[in-house]
Parts: sequence; structure tokens; C-alpha cells
Amino acid sequence: MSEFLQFVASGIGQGAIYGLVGVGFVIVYNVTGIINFAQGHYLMLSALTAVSLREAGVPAVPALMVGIAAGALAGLVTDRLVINPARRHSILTLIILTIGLAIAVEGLALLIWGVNPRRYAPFTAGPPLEIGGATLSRQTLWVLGVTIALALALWWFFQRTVVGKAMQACAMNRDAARLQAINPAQMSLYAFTMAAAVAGVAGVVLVPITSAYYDMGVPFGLKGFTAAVIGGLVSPFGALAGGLLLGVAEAVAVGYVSSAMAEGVAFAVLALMLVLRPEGLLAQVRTRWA
Amino acid sequence: MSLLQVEGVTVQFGGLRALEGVSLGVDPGRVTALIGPNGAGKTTLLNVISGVLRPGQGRVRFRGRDITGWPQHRVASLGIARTFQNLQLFGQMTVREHLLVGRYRLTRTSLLEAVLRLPRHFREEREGRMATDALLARLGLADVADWPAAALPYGRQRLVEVGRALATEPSLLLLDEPTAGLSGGEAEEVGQLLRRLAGEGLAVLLVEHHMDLVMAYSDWVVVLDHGVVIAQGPPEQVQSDPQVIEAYLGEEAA
Amino acid sequence: MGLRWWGPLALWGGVFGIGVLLLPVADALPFLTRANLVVFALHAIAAMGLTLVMGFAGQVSLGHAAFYGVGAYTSALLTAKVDWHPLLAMAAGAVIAAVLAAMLGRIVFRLRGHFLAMATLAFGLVFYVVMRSWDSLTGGNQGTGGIPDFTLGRLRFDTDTSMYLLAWAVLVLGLAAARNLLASRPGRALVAMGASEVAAASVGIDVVRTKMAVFALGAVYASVAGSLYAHYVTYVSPESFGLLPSLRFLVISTVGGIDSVWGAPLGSAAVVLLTEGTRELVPRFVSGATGSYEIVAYGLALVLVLLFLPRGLAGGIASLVRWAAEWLGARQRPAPTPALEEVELR
Repeated sequence: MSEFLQFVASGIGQGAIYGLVGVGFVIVYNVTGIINFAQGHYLMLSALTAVSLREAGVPAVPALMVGIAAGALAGLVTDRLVINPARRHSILTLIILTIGLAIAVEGLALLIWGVNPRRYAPFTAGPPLEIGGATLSRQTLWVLGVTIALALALWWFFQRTVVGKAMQACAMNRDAARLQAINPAQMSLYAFTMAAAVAGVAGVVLVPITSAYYDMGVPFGLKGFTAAVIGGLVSPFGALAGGLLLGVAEAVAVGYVSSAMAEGVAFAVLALMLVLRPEGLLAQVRTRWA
Repeated sequence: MSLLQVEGVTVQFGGLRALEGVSLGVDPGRVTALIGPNGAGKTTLLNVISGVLRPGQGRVRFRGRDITGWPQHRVASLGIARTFQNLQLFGQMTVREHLLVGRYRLTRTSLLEAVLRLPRHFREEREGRMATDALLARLGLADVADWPAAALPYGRQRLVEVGRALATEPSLLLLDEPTAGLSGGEAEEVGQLLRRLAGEGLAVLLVEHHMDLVMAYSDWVVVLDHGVVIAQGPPEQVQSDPQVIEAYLGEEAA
Repeated sequence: MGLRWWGPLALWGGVFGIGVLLLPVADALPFLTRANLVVFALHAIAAMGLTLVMGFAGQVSLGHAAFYGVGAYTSALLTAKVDWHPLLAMAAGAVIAAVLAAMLGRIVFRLRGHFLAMATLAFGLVFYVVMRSWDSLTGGNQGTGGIPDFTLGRLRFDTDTSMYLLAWAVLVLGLAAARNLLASRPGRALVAMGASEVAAASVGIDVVRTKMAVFALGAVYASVAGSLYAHYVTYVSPESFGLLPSLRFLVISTVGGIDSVWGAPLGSAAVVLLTEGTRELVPRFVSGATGSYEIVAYGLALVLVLLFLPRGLAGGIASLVRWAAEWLGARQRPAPTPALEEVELR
């Protein structure tokens, strides 16, 4: 029992990060129907930007803020420069476009930051906490706190604000939304930017747990997508739950098998989910935010 | 026993009942028209017969054989061909290639035989060429045989669909609004073509909006309304059926 | 044996000749070597399989490198450890790849669009992780070495030039096979299925089986290329078959043009030029650049081609040819049929 608790404690931090990236997939998918392959790359950009600023001596709060902004900006640029000009193409072309973008961004990151992983200190110093026989790092608490705060903020945004409701309308029916003077291109811009910002937040709180490196975008993107798929791909809260589940499953795999195999767990889960429950997933596609 | 026998077919989409207890028969040598207001379930019925949809209840029999719920390609290989209301052409393929694809079930060349250019490939291509030449001439498409079908005017694209279905050498032809978007003259030609095909012994089930055409060229008319057969009989009789008139007037009033 | 044989022989002999002419071209260019040509030909073979799957049958695969890996590992293990003849090992790899692909296709092709893309990606990664973790068979991260040279009778392919000529010959055979296939019953069936599954099924085409068949065929192309690769480098490790290689095949097919059989060689040439060009230029501007930063160029090429040249280089060249022909008034076409050239190009 305490062993399992330890797996939970070591897995939920990463899991929450997967969940946040998954939320980004859900937001973009719901509003535009696109799977944005570059979703994990915003996390990477934010994390590495924040690391660079910290290394240059910038205080923590502005460094993290600028880091998040860098990710969000990349999301905005994705929509304007890549997605919007190709809006009339098939969804598949759009997805391959985001793959191209992801590859290019990863290459740029390699040129800017090189191959070495980098990190900064946890937000609060101190020894890990003991809870019921399991140890939990302080940064994990930060990650969980930020995740909960972000989830509440998103819930409020989609339920209570005009823009949030307009984005939901877009998710349900693009043509009907247009009739109500909602501009889908505008909503797509918001969706990409918001999704990137959420991934950016995930990136800057993650760095003290896991080092940032130039090619972290793909693994985190894929695991985020897996989280989103577990959650049904249309529900942000489902994605968060899926992320936590995946994080814990990985921790268990590391504990019982090997860390090399653990890498495969997420992919196997993704493959199985897609294969075993495709109709289930597709049948649920019309939207639920809670 | 008719060639095609539809017995008590019911289809439900969520809460909506698209077809309810529909029964009808289609016979060789006759044009059977399926008419009814928009949303009456005509295309749904064609989808059930051709294997696109599996009915909730009821049976579909062809030559007495129960084919309910068979996959589409197996239904097709029995000799049931169809066209689509919203055109389903093959991208950049030429008109002739469309018809050659139609001959799929009549030919046997395997992947290996094709890649290695073994004799069967050449023989079947030669036969295909002759058969499609005849069909192209018959449909008046000979002059555009090597054009991409997508480059043709709409009316002739519809003919390509009919041609693809006929190339399968079917014994039952299902046509879903073959004259939609055609001019009066073109629709007339399609009607005459159907008569000639029926004269050669083909069974035709025609979904049609164009009422003049139905009255002029069909032998038997089945009227669907809200998923239920409300009348059937020879054209003259159906035309004067009060229930049918009401169904159509209802549509116009709405 | 009249024209039926001489026409194609002349055509493919000519294409082979072009490949031979690329040797002096590579020698003349300062940033290209004959080793680059080998990579070009091997990648083109594998990518052509992907073109059949994506461009003609209309299915996505983001895990194509896994089949390249199946071929490479099968050849590596069977020739290095149990001493099979390279040709036999290559055939074994192709069979394994085809069977795996058909089984996988059976499972994943119920999915569409982005679900299919993600599922193939995930299966590709699972393969990669298995190759990395299955130490006793594959040597894990260290990989497997000691692979002998490829031989055919008394011919031994142990130099860049001989390997390139072999790979190019295989590529020409692959091109000819693809073109033969597309102008035939099974080929038309798969193109029809790519355009409209419901209409293809309505003439009796078994969509599931056709998808499995084309996926298996695409895997055979990748596997054969992978086998040649293993003999060429004499050492294989999982890195060559992971995500990046899969994406590279995607880039090659897409940039070259997925609806033409000429797309894969064109795209492969473009990617080799981009790779070597980037490796030549970037160090002049960024000091201490390491790693495979040439992916910047891949990514940009993919985005730019999709935005501005959606039918790829092959489509672009076909359009140029058509414009030139019209401009010269050489041929009067019966109607403005923008796609006619491309259809013929196939």
C-alpha cells in the first residue's frame, strides 16, 4: 500500500504536466478540429526561455512570466502564420503542417540552446515532505497547486465569459457559430494562443522536477495527447484526469520494470486507447467542458 | 418472389425513426420508383439495401438469399450496383478509369500479376477496354473517355456514376436521384436509358424527385413518407392516391 | 515481344541512366559525396512505400520507419548471427514487414484522419522502444554490428558507388512496380478507395483488405530499403528507426508530392540537398552548433511546400511542364483540365 502511495507521489507531478498539455490539445481540437502536433513544443519553448532568463540573473517571477509569454506567442504565431493561411485545406494537411512546424521549432531550439539539459532550483527550498510513508517533493505541490488554479480559471473562462462561451459555440457547430457573428478564425487564434499558454505554464513549473531540453516537445506532446485521449479528447477535466493516470502508470512501470520500458508505456496506452475505443471516443466528440 | 425483397425494415438514428417496417419488392425488367418528400427515408433505404447501413429490424433478400447486414463490397459482388445522390467520383481518375474500376468484381488480376505484368493483366485490360468502349459509346461519353471525370460538366459527371455502376454488369441497379441538377433534356435521356436497360432485363430501383420522369418512365411506384410506405402501385394509380397528394401538399405548405 | 516490352525497358533503362549520371554531379558539387547518394536512394525507396499508402490509398502513417527497422534488423540478425545469404535475409525481412503491416493495418485502419495518424505514430514508437529494450535480440541501445556486405553472386557491394548503383537499381524497380500497379486492376482499386471508400465498396472493392494490402506493400518497400541500409552501414541501432526517421519519410513523400510516383525520389533529393546545405551553411552563422539541427530545414520545407505547393515538387514540375507546353503552343488540349498532366505522370 505504502509502495503504491509512493508511486502516486512520484507520478502525479509529471502526470499533472501531461494533463495540462492535454488540456491544450482539447482546447484546440474542440474549437478547430485540429490535433496540434506542436503542443509539447510550446512547453519546451517556455521552459528553455525561463531557464535562460534565470541563468542570466533575471528574478524568478519575471523570468517565469516571460517564459510563459514566449510559449503563448509561439501559439499565436502558429495560428497566424501556419494554420490561418491553410484554413481551406483538409484537416490532415493542417495536422501535417503542425508536424512541420514542430520539427522546425525543435531544430531552432537545438541551435539556440544546444543539446544539454538545463534546470533551475525548485520554487521553495527544503526537504521533501512525508505523507503517509510516501515522500513528495515541494515542487510537486507547486505543480499540483498551479494545475488546480489553472483548471478553475479555465472552467470560469469557458462557463462565465463571453469569449469562452463563443469558443464553446464554435466547438459545437462552426457554421451556426458564424451565423451568430462569431468569427471562427478569431476563435482559432484564441484557442491556439491559450493552449500554448497553458503548455507554457506547465513548462515553467516542470523545470525544477525534470530538466528542460530541446527535444522534450515530442515526448511531452505525445503524453499530453495520450492524456487527452484517455479523457475522451473533448473534456479538459478528462484530460487532466487522464494525465494523472498516465503519470502514475509511468511511475509504476519505472518501479516494477525499467525506466526504458516506462517510456513505452505511454505509447502503448495511446495505441491501445485508440484501437480499443475509437468509436467510443468519436461518439463522444460533441462537446463537454466538465 | 421478387429479385429483391425488402421485408419490414426499420432503421433508427438515435431517437429518430428513419424507416419503419418498410417492405417492397423489385423485379427484373421493371423500373421501380421510390418517391416521397424530403427526409422520407429514401436514401436510407438504398443504404440498407446496398449494405452501407445495417437495419435495426427486418430483412433484405436478394434472389431469395438473406443479405441483411452484409458488408457493402459483398453486396456489390452479388450484382447490386448503386449511384450516390451526392456524387462520389474518384478524384483525378479519367472517365474510362471510373468504368474500369466498375469492372472490379468481374476481373481477377492480383497485385503480383499486375506488378509483374503477367498475361492475365494484359488479357483483362484488353477485355476491359472493349467493354468500356461499348459502355462509353452507349452513354455518350466516348468523346471524353480520357478526361478526368472531375473536369466534366455536372450532368455528365452523373452519367459517369451511372456508367461506373453499369460497368459492374449488375442485375439490380439502385439509382439515387440520377437526374438531380440535370436539365430537362438530360433528365429525359436518363429516363430513356433506364427504359432500355429495363428492356434488357435489368431490375432498376430509382429514387427520384423529378415527378414527370417517374410518371413517364417507371412501371411501379412506392411512396415513402416519414419512413413508412404509404402507397404503392402503377404510376397512374399512385398519382391519384389522396394520401400521397396530402404528403406532397404537406411538404409544399411547410 | 513488341512494344509491350521495349517501351518500358527503354523508359526504365533511361531512368537508370539518369541515376548513373548523378555520380559525376555529386562529385562536382563541393558539399555532396557519393555517400549522400546512397542515403538519397535508400530513403527514396522507403518513402515511395509511404507515398503509395498516403498519396494513393489516402491513409496516413507516421510510423513508417518501423518497417525500415524491421528490414534492417532482420537482415542484420540473419546475416551477422546465423549466416543467411543477404538476399534471403532481405526477403525474410520483407515478409515479416508485410505480415506485421497487414496485422497492424487490420487494427488501425478502422480509425480515420488524426486518430489514424496518432495511432501509427504510437505503434512506431512502441516498435522503437521494443528495439531499444530487447537487449538479447537487438543489442538494445548499443545495436547490432558485424553485418557483412551485400553480395549477389560474385558481385560485392562494399563501396559507396557500388551500393548506390544497387540502391538506385532497386529504386528503379520499385518505381516500375508502382507504376505497373497503378495502371492495373488492384492499383485502380486502391486509388478509388483513397478517393471515396463508400463508392469503392459499391463496386465490390473490399476496403479493409485493400488497406491491409497497400500498407503491407508500403512496408515491403521500407523493409527492402532497411535491409540495404543495414548492409551498407554494417551496424544498426534503434536511433535510425525512431520518430525522427518516420517524420523524415513523411517530409520526403510530402515535399516530393504524394500523388505521383516520382515524388519520393524528388523529395529524397530535396531532403539530401537541404540536409547537406544546412550542415554547410549553419556553422558559419552559429558557432558550436551540434546535433541534427538540419531538421529546421525539414520542418520549414514541409510547411512551405504544404502552404504554397500542395502537390509537392512533382506536382510543381508537372505544372511547369504544362505551362511550357502551352506557352510553346506545342500541344492543344481539348479542355482546361488542370490535373491531366499529373494523371499521366503517374
